[in-house]
Amino acid sequence: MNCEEIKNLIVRYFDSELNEPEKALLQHHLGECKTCLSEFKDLEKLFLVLEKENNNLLETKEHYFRNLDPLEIVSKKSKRKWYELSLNPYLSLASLVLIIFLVFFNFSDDQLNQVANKYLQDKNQNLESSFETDSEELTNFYLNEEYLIENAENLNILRSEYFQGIVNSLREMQNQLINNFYENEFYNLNTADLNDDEINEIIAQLETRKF
Amino acid sequence: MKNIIDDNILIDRFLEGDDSAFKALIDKYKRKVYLTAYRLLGNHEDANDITQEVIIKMYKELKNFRRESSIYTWLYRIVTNLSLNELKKRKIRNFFDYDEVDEWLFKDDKQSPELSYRENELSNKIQEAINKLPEKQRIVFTLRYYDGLSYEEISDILGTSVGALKANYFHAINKLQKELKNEL
Repeated sequence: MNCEEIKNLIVRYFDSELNEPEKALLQHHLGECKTCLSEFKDLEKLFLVLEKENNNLLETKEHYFRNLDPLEIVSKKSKRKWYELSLNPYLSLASLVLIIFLVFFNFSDDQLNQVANKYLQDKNQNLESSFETDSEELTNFYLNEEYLIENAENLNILRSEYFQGIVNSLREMQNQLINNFYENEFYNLNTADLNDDEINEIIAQLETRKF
Repeated sequence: MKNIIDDNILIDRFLEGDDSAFKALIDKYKRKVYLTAYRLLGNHEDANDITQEVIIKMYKELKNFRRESSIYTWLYRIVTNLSLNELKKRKIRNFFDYDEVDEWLFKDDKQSPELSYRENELSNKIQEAINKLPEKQRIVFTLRYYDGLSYEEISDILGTSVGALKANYFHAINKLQKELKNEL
């Protein structure tokens, strides 16, 4: 057996997968080959480090585990949040437009009104015919949020609590839409049905439809 | 075997309407569920979300559990599938570059106390090394090393041959060894 094959035995040794003859073979080789013995010791250290880190993680999370009450989670989640009721992506989209409208409507500042007008113009120009598919809706949401953030920064209201609240709402809706889209496309599939190439293919398809 | 019988008793009690049996069942497995999700997804927030999803799914679907396999194999199948779905969602989100906006907008937000653990340098490096593993290797390594599942059980969960799983595990160990070389 060469050293490459012995490496396989070393990994399997720590994986408790060796039978007695294989163990004897490994032991014999390690007695003769310093390179493999060093490899064995390195791997032994790796597993010690991994074990120690895992024990630390468990200890650190003990407080979290103690407070994780399954019945409370079940009872909380059975009461659906308001945005979860609007499963229809079109309804979510309409709500988003309404929120954006309200954001600008509530500010009387001329500068904000200008931004609002420009936003509506741009929106009409860029997004006029793009409500046909889920992926396009997602793109719209992305654009809306990006636009808001970009202009809000100019107006120096970005860090205000009010704006962050709006952005949080947008985020929830965006995530909801992503989830809806995702569930429609993938959720019912066995994950084993989709490999990385297929996912990349779907993303590539989305990419061609982004704007 | 006693373990499986105990689980079956808890399931029977839960199906008869005893919620405390459900709590006992989850208390028994919640650490494993969380840690599996944590290793696969690499952060507390996602692992917490997945743990909660698993709990809810289990509550709703335990009545459909056919007991052909053990409850923990069933649980691992759920947690692995949900985590894989989350990874796929992440790929779509990354396509929209959403995380960059998020990071920039809320960069001043304080870290949650749960995240303080991540400040531990070695832990960070180990989790980063695990995150760098290709998806299949990460799953096989997590289920085999951290969860101690047999290759047959992992094969049952992932629908992959035992030989391929062993090869994945071997490559995962090699990559971790290289990534963590300076920490040993």
